Amino acid sequence: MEKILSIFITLLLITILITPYLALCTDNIDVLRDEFMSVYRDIVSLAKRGVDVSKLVHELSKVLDLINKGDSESLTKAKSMLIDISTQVKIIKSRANNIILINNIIKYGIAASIISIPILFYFLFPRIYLAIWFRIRRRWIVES
Amino acid sequence: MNILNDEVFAVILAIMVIGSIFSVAEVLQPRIVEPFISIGLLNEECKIGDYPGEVFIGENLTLCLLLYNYMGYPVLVQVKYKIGTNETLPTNTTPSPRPAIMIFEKLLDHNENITLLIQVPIAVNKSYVGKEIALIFELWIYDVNQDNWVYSGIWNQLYVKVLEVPIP
Repeated sequence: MEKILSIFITLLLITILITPYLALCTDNIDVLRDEFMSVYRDIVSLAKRGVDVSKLVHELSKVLDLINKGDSESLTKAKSMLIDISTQVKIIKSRANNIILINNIIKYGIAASIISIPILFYFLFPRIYLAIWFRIRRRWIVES
Repeated sequence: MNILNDEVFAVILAIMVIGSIFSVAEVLQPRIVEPFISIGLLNEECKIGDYPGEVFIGENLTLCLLLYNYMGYPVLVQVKYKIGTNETLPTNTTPSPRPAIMIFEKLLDHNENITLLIQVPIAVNKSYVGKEIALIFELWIYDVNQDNWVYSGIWNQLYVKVLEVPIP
């Protein structure tokens, strides 16, 4: 009887000790997941505006894997990585308008350059062709 | 052939104009014309074909999932593993009514594909012995506008015959 009682008390003590730890882990996961979703939403918003976020997505993907592992070591690592990513997202968000403007300038600049090729060809090619034609034949002598 | 001949020059110019119009259209068109996301089911060597046809109750079956995102932005996906029958298959609009046994979660960048080696349990009771079941893999995506997981309407299934575990 005493043996059963001692086993019961031991199990009870273990349960009491483990329960707050498990609750803490669950809380941590929930908090981390909320933070993760918040960062993910920001990244999607930036991506939809045309900002290159591939590096951040790669890092965030690692964070997700760590959160899903669920052990305390992984969660700690995930948290520190998430803070880093969150900081980077904030920086990119503040520069987003400039990045989008530069991207648009590059895009329309390329389009304008392509359109100008036939126009330049029309005006310049006959002159260049004739200049080369005369240069090649400049030593020629016209005989009657 | 004299390139400066009016006709030859006009033809060259016309080719250049048409080429530049197509090039400009390519540069200015939206990045993604037809966004899509897909899921593929592969065998344990992550190849198409040679899928298991028979499984034992309680066995952990090794399979491979192929996920591809071409939505134009990073997508958070969940693959829900369910066991069902012909009557409980998902449709293009509704998921299977069966409960999810396992959930695999991944974040995919635009134009990224991943293969995921998975082990799925054959969690059915003995009444299924000798019958055919469907291993269902539903693709869910996280909708940032709704702030919720939504069923994408895309799924994959593998039909297997259930066998009783042989007595050693």
